[in-house]
Amino acid sequence: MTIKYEVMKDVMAGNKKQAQENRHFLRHKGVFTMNLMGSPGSGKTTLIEALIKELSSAGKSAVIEGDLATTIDGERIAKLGVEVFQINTVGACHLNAEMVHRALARLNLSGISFLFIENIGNLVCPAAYALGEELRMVLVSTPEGDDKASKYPLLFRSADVLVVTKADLLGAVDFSLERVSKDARRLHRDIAIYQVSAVRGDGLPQLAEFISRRREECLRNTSHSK
Amino acid sequence: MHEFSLAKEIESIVALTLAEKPARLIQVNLVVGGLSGVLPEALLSALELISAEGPLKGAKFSIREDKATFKCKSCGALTTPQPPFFCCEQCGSWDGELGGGSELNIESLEVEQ
Repeated sequence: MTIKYEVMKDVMAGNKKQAQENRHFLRHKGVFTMNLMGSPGSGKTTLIEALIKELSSAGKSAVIEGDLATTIDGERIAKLGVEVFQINTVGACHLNAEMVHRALARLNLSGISFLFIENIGNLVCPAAYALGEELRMVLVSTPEGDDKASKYPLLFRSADVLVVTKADLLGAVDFSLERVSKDARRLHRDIAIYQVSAVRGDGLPQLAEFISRRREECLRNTSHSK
Repeated sequence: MHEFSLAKEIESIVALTLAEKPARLIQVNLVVGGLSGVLPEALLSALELISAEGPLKGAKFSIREDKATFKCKSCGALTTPQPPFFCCEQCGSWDGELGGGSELNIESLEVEQ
């Protein structure tokens, strides 16, 4: 006899639960965690390098590097003398909360204020996986084109901040900051938008200030909820 | 693009459920939301691939698509918004509430005892 079990289970529940545990763990250590998402070559590693320096007066940083197979980015970050853990997903197209959980067990987080998680270069899959972050940061570099928000709406809907990178190339490439901003705000009304050039340095102080402010807000909320 | 990971997750949830209530699995009924980013065809292919053996062996899969809704504050219409911007399909307004469509659920299992 065939019978039907009503199950009603969320397939993503395991990831959501692990992400919540990661968030709780990091908050209570006073670590402000950011998930950086963007295409391959959008400048995620370069932005992390620049922000580590820019934020150094506000606090120490650590980095979790996601990569399909190599340790190239992890080695770049390690040269800055900061704590870094490399995750190789062996071909998987996104990081998940379990991978971050395992990385957290290996990182020395004492005295760390900021944790950058560099996701796999991909504008599709990372949208669906929370990692335990406080801030979801999407990067779009000017040579990629200003249509990225409208082409990848799910990622931008879930983002807290859009960072337009390689602003030094504006003028040399066909990119409208106005268009990408308008599209991003249609998808997420309250998205914060910053424009930076990591090579020239402009826009970095403003973005670092925003990150520090968000960390302070997060710490205040955590102490209230204790 | 990550439908294979999702299929593996479905496999482990089904295995856990059947460990509690042992029975022969006939069919898995799934609900995929229109804003979940999951492609039903890709998910089906992944499930068919992994059901050649293991806990899902021999099972059939059914996917019901749950479309998102947009309740417009300007004209009051309740429409099914289309990507990329998910605004009101009737008047084009952005002002409204987007509902549903973000889930990926195992709704039920059909088994033989």
